[in-house]
Amino acid sequence: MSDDLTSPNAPSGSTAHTISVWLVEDNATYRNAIARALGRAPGLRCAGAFGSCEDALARLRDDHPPEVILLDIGLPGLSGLEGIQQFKALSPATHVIILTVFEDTDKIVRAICAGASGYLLKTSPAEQIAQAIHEVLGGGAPMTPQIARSVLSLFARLAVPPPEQGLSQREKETLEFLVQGLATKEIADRLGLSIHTVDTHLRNIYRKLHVNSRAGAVGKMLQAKFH
Amino acid sequence: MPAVWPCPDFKSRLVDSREDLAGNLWLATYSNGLFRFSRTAGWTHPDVESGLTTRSLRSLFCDREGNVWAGTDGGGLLRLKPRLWKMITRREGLGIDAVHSVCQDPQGRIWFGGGTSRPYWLNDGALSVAIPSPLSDPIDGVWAVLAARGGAIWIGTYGGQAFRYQDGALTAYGAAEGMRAGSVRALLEDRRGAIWVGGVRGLDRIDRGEVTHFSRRDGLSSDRVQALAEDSQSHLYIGTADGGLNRFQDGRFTAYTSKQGLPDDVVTALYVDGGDALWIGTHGGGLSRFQAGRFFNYRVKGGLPARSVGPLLEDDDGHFWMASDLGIIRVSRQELAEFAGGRRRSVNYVAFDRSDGLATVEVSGIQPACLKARDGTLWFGTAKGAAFVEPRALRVHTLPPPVIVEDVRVDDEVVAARGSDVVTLQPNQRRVEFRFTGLSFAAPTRVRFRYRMEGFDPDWVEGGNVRSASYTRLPPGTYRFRVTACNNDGVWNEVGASLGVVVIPAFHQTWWFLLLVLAAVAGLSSALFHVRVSRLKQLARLRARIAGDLHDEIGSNLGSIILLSELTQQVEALPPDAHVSFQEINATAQRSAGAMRDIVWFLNPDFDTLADMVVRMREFARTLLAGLECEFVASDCLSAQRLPLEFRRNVFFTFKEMLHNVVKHAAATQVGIHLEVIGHRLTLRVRDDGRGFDPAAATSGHGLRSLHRRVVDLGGELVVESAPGKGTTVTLTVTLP
Repeated sequence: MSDDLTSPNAPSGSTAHTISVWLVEDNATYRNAIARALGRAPGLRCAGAFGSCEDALARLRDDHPPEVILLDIGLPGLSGLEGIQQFKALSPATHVIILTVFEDTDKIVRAICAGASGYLLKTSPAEQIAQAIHEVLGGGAPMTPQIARSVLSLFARLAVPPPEQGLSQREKETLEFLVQGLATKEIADRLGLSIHTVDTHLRNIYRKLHVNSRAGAVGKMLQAKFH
Repeated sequence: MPAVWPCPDFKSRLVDSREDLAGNLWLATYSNGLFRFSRTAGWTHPDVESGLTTRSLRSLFCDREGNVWAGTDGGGLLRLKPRLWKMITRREGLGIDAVHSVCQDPQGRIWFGGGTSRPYWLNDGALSVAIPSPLSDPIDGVWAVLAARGGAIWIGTYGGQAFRYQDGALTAYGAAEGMRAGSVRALLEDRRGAIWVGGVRGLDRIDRGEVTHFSRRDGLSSDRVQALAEDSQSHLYIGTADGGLNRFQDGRFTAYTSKQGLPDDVVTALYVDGGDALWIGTHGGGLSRFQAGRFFNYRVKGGLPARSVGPLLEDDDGHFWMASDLGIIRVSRQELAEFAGGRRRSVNYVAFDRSDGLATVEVSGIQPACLKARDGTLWFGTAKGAAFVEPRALRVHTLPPPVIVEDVRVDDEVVAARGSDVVTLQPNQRRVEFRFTGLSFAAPTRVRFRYRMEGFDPDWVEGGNVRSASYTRLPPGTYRFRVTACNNDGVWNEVGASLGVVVIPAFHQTWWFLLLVLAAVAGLSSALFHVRVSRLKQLARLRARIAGDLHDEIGSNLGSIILLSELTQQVEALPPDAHVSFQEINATAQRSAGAMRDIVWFLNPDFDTLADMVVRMREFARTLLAGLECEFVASDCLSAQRLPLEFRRNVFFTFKEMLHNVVKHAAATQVGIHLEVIGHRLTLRVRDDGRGFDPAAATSGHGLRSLHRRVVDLGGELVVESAPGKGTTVTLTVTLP
């Protein structure tokens, strides 16, 4: 394993595909710690570590985009939310996972609406970080009860969305169980579905959030509620 | 052919001459006083006995009221008034001082009785003894005299006897004849010709020579009879000194006292008028009228203010004349009737006293004390002789007095003299006084005033004869001061005089100032409120920002510690105790992170319901009991009741401890968590299938002590059921706040 954290082309000893991950975090100590943890994690590679969105965006223009960007949502300068939008604009295929100190539902839902694929707590152990990255790339959609509640109310307030963009009945039920705090497994039991199906529902919910946000509608609603 | 009257010798040159309203000629001389010529009376020379202060006259004037004014040299200004009342006294030849009773016989002679044994009479203008001695000797004090229709004269005496005098013969009725009424106070002849004698010990009736006595034993309310009257139905009315009014009808007495509406139980006079109404004079309750079984009392606001009313009678012009504590007053019967009927707000009356010629206003209390002679003259027996008046000759001053506001004083300084229209008061000026007068010189002291500040006084103020009115601290505004006056005959000048008054408000009294103040106060409080709210908002924002920054720093650092300690643990050549240390570091950092998240979560007001707490509990259980089979059952519909922070913290931490205990001590494979809310009671049960223990032998190592402490803080109950090898069930019950 190479200790050269900043080199985008650090050689890896394995022929398996390693996921390229970029890091945008202003706290130097934490940035280094994550970079090292990423380095140790199998299948992951820290391909870039930046102290600000601007630096990362500059590199993104010139270079290969990463597969995942871990983005600190509390960044100074260009706000994390705007950063997400710009990253997604420059490289739509890149997944953005936001790093947050605690589950601030407000921030997370905004981030998701801005295009984020998921979130991670800064106090997560290395294993959880790797798991989240794999999940996101696999199409997962992390959701907490609070986020589920916000999503429900958000969709409820949208002005008559077209059928594909609104929530289906099953999706609504899933969210409601989430709101109560049930885990995916428990939800699957209650609804008589497989865990896979529940996950699909969650992915669809995320997608619809993204679609609606791109259409601009959700963004407006968010501005109204979270001030 | 003009009539010629010779003049007397004036003895001084004439300085002035005037004709008065009655048509008399007045002549003033330089040093010999005043001469008056009247077509009926001829020449008179009023002198000192009429009140002339000096004989040196300089000028004469007759005013509209009929007064004659004379300017003098050294004697002041003199006013002469025609005498209304005339007296028959010792000076005229009456042999008595006080006249107790008066009557007129069919021949027109006026009889006077005054306590001596001999009555007097006025016969064709000459006064003499009516019944000479020795015939009159048996009469023991003439108290009352009565002329009967048949021509006889009845005399009631001090000694309680009654004498009948006719055709020169005197017949006595005394104790021997059955008289028992005592000292005579009243005499009356009824329709049948019987004579009623009222005295201090009852009532005697003399009918065709027979005496019948009535007293309390017969139903009279009192033996002290003071007045008698009879109506057209032959009902006899008896006024007593302490028993009110009695009516004698069909042989029975009915009493009327203050209980029935009589204003006072001391009845001093009675009179039945042409309409059969009974007029009652009382000692302390004024005038009252008894008609159709009901009393109407006149001593009320607007009525007759006299307190004690004595003998009364009616003249030929519809006026009542009555003795009273105000003098002899004259009042219109029409006005009295209208007042009683509510068609009139006040009664006008004229009061006569010594200034009108009466020697005294003390009228006798014996009945009959007053008489309407056949020529219309009214006679009253008084303590100083007999007084008489010709009602027709009485000139009522129909002239209302002009009213003038003489000056207006504000805070004792004259601000407006006569002729001003408006008085303006500045805000710092407190007292305004109006001085006014009514120009009537006939009896200036009897001029009465009424005034009113329109806009301030709700009604007219009776000012009596005081010639000023003052107001202090009038509120700001525009007013009108009006004053009217009446002359001594009660004729009111309805228009009076008036003056505008404007009180300028101090600026702090004006409506716009108050409005301004109100607006300012409202604006100020609204501004203060906004400032406070924005400051609070600012503070909240600042707090949030600081918290955010803090959290970010702490969070990132904890994250760093967690990751780095993990990484270090993976170093191969790490000594085992170093390994353990780093493990501890990692665990501690993770716990810190968890605690921080809990704090933030609890403080968030958006998540303070029971449902939110359960969500958190599920998460926690999921994380802590990750390797175990865990079933968390909670009632589905938990109320949205917001719970206080303390309570949530305590329940959650209790739950955490319960789960920590399971992880630390139970070595279980299955954990069941059950949360239920029934009404206001919350039940939380944690059951594990682990080692179990003997609760009786519990030591502190099982973590139960701190658990109990928490439960006590909550005010709930903890039940621990366990047996070695049989697992443990811990149940918490608590009441929701």
